[in-house]
Amino acid sequence: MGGRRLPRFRSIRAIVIVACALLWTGAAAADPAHVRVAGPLQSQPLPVAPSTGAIKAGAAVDIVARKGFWAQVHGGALTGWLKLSRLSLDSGGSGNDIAALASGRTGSGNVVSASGGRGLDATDFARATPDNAAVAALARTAASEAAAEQFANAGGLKTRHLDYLGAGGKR
Amino acid sequence: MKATLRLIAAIAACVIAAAPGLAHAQSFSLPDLGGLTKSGSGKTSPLPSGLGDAIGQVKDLTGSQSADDEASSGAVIAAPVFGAAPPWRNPAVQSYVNLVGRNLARQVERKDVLWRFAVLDTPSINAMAFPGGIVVITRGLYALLTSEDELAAVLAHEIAHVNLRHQWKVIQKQKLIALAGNAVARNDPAQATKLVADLGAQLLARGLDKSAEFEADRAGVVIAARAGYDSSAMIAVMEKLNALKPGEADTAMLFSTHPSPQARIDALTAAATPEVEAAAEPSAAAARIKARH
Repeated sequence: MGGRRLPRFRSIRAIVIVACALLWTGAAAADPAHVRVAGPLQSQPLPVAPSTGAIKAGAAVDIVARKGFWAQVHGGALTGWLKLSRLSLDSGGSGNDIAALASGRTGSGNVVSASGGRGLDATDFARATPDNAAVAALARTAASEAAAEQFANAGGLKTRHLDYLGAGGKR
Repeated sequence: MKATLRLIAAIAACVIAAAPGLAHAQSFSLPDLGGLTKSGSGKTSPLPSGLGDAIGQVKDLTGSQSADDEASSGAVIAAPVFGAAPPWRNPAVQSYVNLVGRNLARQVERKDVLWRFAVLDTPSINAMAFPGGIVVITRGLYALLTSEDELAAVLAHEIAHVNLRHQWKVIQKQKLIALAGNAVARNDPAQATKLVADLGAQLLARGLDKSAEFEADRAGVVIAARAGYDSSAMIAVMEKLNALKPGEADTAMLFSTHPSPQARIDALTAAATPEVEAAAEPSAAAARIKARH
């Protein structure tokens, strides 16, 4: 009996440890931010979703989730979704820095460091010997429309009908 | 078209001649670009060969609607870039990027473009488009991308520039050419040379105004979403760029020629319609890039 209890105990302990780790990760993922633009919070990341309440500019919130153009925030008694452009991330050090959220500065991103090589600039282009052969060779490696269509189908891509966006959007 | 080729070639030659690496100018040659050594004025001029001709052909450029002119000038402007950073010797990635790009290009209105895509072998982080359908992404930027959705977002932005003729319009409207013409009239070849060199440098650095970059962002998101990709992938790319340090050499040109990533995120988020937001889901092909890293 005792020999069977020990593994069970270890399993429970492992589960507790994993659960604590997950909770800690979840807590760490809640990034503090401030609301830049007052307005409603939505129950879903959609402008037509029911409102869960209105939040004021300057309100302190925690970002608890992200989806596309939206962030789910928790502040005071309110929880709901709002667009990223209405938020200012507190960490990251640069004002309206919501972009750091999933970029690596907050530890949740996936940024690889660039090599230490000297970057290209227009001066390099001006100094370079033009490589006309390389430009001409591009036509030989270009994909045909038929090949591209086959590639899209193989990847399961489904086309959509969408209008271009205006500068101000359509609300 | 020949007049255009002469102008662009002269600009490129002037840029090269104005650069410290003058030895390179000796080897500068372009196929089928007659008239480079012919003086348009017929007078002895200290100007680089062809400059007089070039300035004399401004009207031909400003009025051209020719796709051939556009493609020819794009190839000439791209050549120094390929000279500075050759195509990455990775046929699998080159083929992959061409397929992703060509599929995206099926979603735009222009059908008079020969779309060609390349990954340049440089750690610098950037992407560029040239008139006529040449689109390049650097190996440094490619390495940052973790999904085909993100690659599509970058390429779609560049495709939008070509579809909207952004760079071509810069060439056609560039007032520096007119100023250079005035300098020639004042018999001030040094100033004329500087102005034309400045124009070439601007073209090579893709110095579009911010409104063109924002417009390409908005159009690119739609182009990618039309093709079936995640409409919010450009936000993810901007987030990654925003995490990079602007002062680092690998990003210097990118940040000097584009609005800040934060400003682009704000503009895109504000412009997105419910229909575009509804397309903010990872595509079925998102993971395909992992086999090409």
